[in-house]
Amino acid sequence: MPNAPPRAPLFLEGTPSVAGTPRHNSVARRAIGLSTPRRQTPLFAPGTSSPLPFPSSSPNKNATPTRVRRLNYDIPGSQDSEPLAFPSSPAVATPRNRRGDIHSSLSITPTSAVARSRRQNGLPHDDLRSDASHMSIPASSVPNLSAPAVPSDDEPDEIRAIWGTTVNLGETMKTFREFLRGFKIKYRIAYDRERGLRTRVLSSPEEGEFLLYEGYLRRMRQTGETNLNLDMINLAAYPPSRKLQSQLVKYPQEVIPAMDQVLKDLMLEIAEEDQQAGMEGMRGEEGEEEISEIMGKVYKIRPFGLSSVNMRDLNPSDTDKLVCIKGLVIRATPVIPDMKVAFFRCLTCNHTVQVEIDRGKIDEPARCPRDVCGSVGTMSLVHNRCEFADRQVIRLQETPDAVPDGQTPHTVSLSVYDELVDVSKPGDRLIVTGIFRSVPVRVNPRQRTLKSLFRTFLDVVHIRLGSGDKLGLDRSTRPAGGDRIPGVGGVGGGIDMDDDQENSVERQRRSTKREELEAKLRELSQRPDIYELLARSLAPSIYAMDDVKKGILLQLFGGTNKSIARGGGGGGPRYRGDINVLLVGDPGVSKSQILQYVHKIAPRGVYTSGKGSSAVGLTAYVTRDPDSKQLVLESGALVLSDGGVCCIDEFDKMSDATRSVLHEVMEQQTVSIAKAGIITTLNARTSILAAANPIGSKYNPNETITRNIDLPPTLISRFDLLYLVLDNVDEALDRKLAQHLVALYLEDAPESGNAQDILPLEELSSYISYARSRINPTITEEAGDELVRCYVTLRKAGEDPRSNEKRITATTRQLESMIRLSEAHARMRLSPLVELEDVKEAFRLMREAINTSARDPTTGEIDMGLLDTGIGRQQRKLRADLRRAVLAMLDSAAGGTRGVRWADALAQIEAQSSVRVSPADFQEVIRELEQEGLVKVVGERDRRMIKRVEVA
Amino acid sequence: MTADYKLRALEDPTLVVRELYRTHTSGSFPRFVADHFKKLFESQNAFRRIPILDVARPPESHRDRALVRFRGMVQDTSLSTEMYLSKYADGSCGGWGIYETEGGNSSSARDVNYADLEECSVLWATSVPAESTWCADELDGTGHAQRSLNPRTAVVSQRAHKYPHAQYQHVGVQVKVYDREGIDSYKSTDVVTFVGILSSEPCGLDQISSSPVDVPTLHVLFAQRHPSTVVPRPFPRLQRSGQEERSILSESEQSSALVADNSAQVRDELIAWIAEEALGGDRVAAEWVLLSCIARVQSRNPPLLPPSLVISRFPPPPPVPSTTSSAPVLLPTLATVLQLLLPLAHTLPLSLDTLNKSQFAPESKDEDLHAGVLQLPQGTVLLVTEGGVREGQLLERGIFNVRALQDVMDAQTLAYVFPYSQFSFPTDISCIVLSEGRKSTFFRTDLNVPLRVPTNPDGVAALYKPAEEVKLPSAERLAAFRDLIVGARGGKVQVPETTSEHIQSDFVQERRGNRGLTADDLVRRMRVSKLYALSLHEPTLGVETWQRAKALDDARISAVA
Repeated sequence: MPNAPPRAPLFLEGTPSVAGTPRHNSVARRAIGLSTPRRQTPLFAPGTSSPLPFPSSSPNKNATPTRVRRLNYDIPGSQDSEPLAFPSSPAVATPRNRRGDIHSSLSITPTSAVARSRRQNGLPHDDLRSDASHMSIPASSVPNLSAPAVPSDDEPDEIRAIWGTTVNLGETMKTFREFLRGFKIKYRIAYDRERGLRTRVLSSPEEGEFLLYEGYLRRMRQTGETNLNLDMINLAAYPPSRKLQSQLVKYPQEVIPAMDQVLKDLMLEIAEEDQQAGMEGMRGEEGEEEISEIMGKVYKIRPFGLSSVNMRDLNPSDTDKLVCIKGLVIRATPVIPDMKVAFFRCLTCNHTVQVEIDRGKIDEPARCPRDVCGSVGTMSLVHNRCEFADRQVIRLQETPDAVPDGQTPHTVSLSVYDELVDVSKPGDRLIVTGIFRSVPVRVNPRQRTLKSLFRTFLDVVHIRLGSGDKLGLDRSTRPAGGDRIPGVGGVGGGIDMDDDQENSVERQRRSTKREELEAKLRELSQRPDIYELLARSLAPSIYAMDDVKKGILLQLFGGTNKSIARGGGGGGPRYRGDINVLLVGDPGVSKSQILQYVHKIAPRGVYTSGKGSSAVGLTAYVTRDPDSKQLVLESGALVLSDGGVCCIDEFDKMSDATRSVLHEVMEQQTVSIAKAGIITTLNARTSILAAANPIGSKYNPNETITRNIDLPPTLISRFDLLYLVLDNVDEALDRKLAQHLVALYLEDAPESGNAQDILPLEELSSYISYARSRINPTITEEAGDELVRCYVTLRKAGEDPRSNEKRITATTRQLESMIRLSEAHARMRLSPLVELEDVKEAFRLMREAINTSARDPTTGEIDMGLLDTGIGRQQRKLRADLRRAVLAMLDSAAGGTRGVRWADALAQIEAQSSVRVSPADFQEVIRELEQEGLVKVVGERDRRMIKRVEVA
Repeated sequence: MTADYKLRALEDPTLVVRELYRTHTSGSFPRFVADHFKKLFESQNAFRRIPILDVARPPESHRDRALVRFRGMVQDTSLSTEMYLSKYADGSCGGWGIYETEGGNSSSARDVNYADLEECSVLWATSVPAESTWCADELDGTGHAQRSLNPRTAVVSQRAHKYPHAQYQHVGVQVKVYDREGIDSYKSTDVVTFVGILSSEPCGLDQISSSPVDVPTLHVLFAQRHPSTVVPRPFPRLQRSGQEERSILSESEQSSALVADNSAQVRDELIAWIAEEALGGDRVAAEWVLLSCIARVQSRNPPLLPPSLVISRFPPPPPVPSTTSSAPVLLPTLATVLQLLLPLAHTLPLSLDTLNKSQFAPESKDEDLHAGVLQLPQGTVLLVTEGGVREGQLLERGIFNVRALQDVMDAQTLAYVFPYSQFSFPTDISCIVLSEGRKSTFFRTDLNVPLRVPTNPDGVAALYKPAEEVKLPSAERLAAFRDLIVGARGGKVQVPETTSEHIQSDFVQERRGNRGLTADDLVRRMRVSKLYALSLHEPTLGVETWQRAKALDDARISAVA
């Protein structure tokens, strides 16, 4: 394979530098770490300073895992432990900082500073590679460190470059060090501003001067956290480290370990500085302990903040680069112990060798590396001396918004390691930063083919859970105390940059499909005729009925759910934001069609027919209808539409039992199910769109609505909007309707058939989902006043100067409805505030709906009592008259002791009355009287007698 | 290209690819390969010489790395893409299953040049479900003779769950597409003929398992898509039949050139035949079945979808004397008739058991998209029989299945279930439901036609007579029937101004007399009249056709009432 290059972008192996030679003299001076005397000095390039004795105050050795460089078995001359020492060869085996996600061959000797010893030696030496910003370290924290920067002759004596590039690793480390020490929030703000992003206003100039990462490093020390989340935008925002970002993306394998190294150095440095400064918790012994603890830890940089790409767009050129993708966790394996270092022992001479795993493969030594022994095939694996790390394989699937039309979602494998294991659960949405890997797979078991076919996966370095509001994550399902995402340094810059800003930054940075869609929807919402456009698009094939469409449109948007946070009973009551709409009308006025449309548009819409549907349950029964002897299906619907719209056709034909469930659903928004002796309450936060036919299939305009439909008034009153959809034969209208339909259905290019623009179904649907999920409008003061005014107006309409009896034109239910409708209208405009115009439109819709449904046909006046109780004022007055007449009649001679026959009584009353007395009214009055104990009814049916009960 | 060269491509396609690589200079190599092979097999004759991969000729019957053609339905597009080494150290090409085998030297231990990695897409394709025999024969270009050789061995692919009707014989193949241009246009349920090199490779679906199972794999050289009618026929139909496409039947057809039949006559004969053979002589029902067979999705916005039809009062199958408790459910003869007439037809016998146990909508389990019964190619006519339904409980799965089919009828969409998400895919499935009652037990349908046949045992038995007893019309008649239906499926109807005017005034006038008439009725009539015109192979909708269609629909309504 002449043209196959050796090891692709890996660090050059075999050079002495790999052996972890410290690069800076100053670093080298401090490069003692835990280098116990047992440590093999030959590993160091000649000329490095000899290790200083470790401070005696250090905790016991066993508890201090160290980052002594790994044993480089393949370097000739490297001496491993003596064969005889094998059983006890101790610290030697302790590996360097080893990360599962980075399979780098780079190894860097820890450069742990023991400035203390130097200090004791009277050599206060400032190690800081300070840049100018170094000066701005709060003087109080490190008073005696304001020494001038180390001269630049402190350059590494060897140039360690990443293979095949001009990237100088030493340079990189230096830059990163400068970054960590010098980055201030103001840089980020300036950077964002340059890019036209909304930035946070700082409360004081000092805030912008805050050294972000030093703060994080201190916090890490205090909390014992070992991971630092590094926002890569910050790297780009800090002028000296701008180059570092692209280096990190291109060569994460080399750069990240280098960064880890810098991080640890700095941790120690800062700890020492703090100790010197006598910071609280860092004095004397305490500080010593702290420092040695830091010494023993493995620190990791977890970079994030790349703009995410679609997982379909990952291609071979991304191999071994840092990428960021988003997706949905669909499966996660249990924790797998992943071998990091294999431990081999020669069976002949007991010589031991450690081999690191490279890309999932162990290079098993074919022969004993010891020259003296050199026996072939004697190296055997010693399992319990191998090192393992936690590993987990996660399958990440594309989120629905990223999948191209008509395609099925793709999945990628993620390998997560150590702290990131078990951070995410199936169902979580993640934004993942990782290194894109390709590993060869076996192609054919019969012939050994190698490295022809590759599978890809991501070695994850950073996980971020999708935030709740955006992606519909139910926070209550997460463990208390938040998610266990390791690391200090909040995503997006941490504590110091609030979430809101972070979101806006995120939002503007991402350029996914979702973004475009969002922008499009936003733009759409700016149209002045958005309301009309949406209403028109709701059911384009249905002609006219604009107000009905508007009402239903607002129902789809819905008001906001409110709960009163204070107050007893688990956070107080919840007020529903769902708007319920009832359509009553003649058959064949496209009621069902509207329902069908809504069912298609609404998120989680369920369509059911009142006939043969049981409100609850996820199973259904096929039964034989006793009347027709036909098989019918009984199914449940309400639970299925939790969080959506439940469309119920033939609402009036629903069984009473089901309807009673609806009472609960419509006010409490729950459904109680008794099953197997357990009563459970399921959420049914659903708005109901129902359609009902009038009794006798034709609406009688001379009767009140409650008489026209076979529904209890209590249920009717729970609908926010009630529309009467009457079919009036009107030739002109019919012609227009026919024209509309013919154009729509028969023209060859139906799209162009109608000039008026309508939104396609999908767009309308996404507009609604977007508004529902993002917009939660609050009521402005102005709008609040208007609401009050409108409500009073409605109430006042009931005052009648001619009589002292009051018609009810509006109840608090109407007020609530009005609030919900206003909110929905504001939502429709994607406005965060409910404004005057929203209330006005809500009022108009209410008035229109009331006008059609709550008008007393006899007086022509609006009377909400009709809807609330089923009886209007006029009827109440009539009944009161009737009652007096009945009592008078019974008291009169005709009554006698035997009473009056039912039919006779009715006839008599009717003869007296100037208006027609309906038998139903009469019966109702008698029933009332009977309940009050004033009359008594005996006998059955036609032979009923009405008797006056004598009052003693 | 010489015939010799073609022969070599047939014999050893791998060698041809290797040779091409040597001559190839610039541009995308996969594209170059696709163009080359496409041109090589451009003529139908050459194309038909490529061996077929199907149930009768399963993967095992072909030698390794043979050139085959496979007509399949794209079942799953969610498989991860693969990376392959496009160039080996010795300068030879990779891809199309060409792998470097480990030589004597230790070169394999060397690292690869990641710059030479290329991507290839992986799909899963199965035999086309619902494809009728005559359609397959026509597309394969083989006669009945070869088919009869097929020994009825049970060919079941290892991944039967990826075929919508796992109980039937089928072939499932992992398809690797190297020419990634327009790869996103491969969608689920697309019918595509893939020509490529057949080999056996580990399945891309086993992402986590360490030792994936080998599955037949087709390395695509080029692909041909099929229109939704699968077998194209002219519309309006040509007077003279006996086209080249109908070459299978051409032996008996030489004389048929004389038959200058008009479409109306063929239509009548077709209706009569359907009525006689499958519907106990009910020509009204047969006419509606014909209209349903023609229906397809014409537009999604506004929705011009195929109307769903229920044939009510369809007697349940006669009890079959059987010793086992689970007697096989007899399929109505209509199923056979539809198979004979349509390129894509499928029968779905419903019973509580199938509803509760089978999966109608495809569902992704462990990242493997399991096929659903309704994952059918666009343009399928689905016959749903409710004859097997008894009283009992429908479980959750059953309800979702009913909903899935109802969604297909109402909106022509099918929601594929993925973990934590659902994706709606467009379908084009025209549904005919056979129901015992006055209307369907499970479904809301647009049209309802009661079957008027005697319900005596003989009458019922006639509806369920076995396929062998169906009296086939003469070959040219049958061909004419197929021309009529398939042609109409691909046809378009214009509505002239006069007809449009007439429809409008007709509606207004009728509304005056009959207040019960609604916009829904108008919409339905228009849909029916369009289908009616199509069935007559009339490219324009005349007033007369409108009247006849209206009369047909009115008659149907009065029959229901």
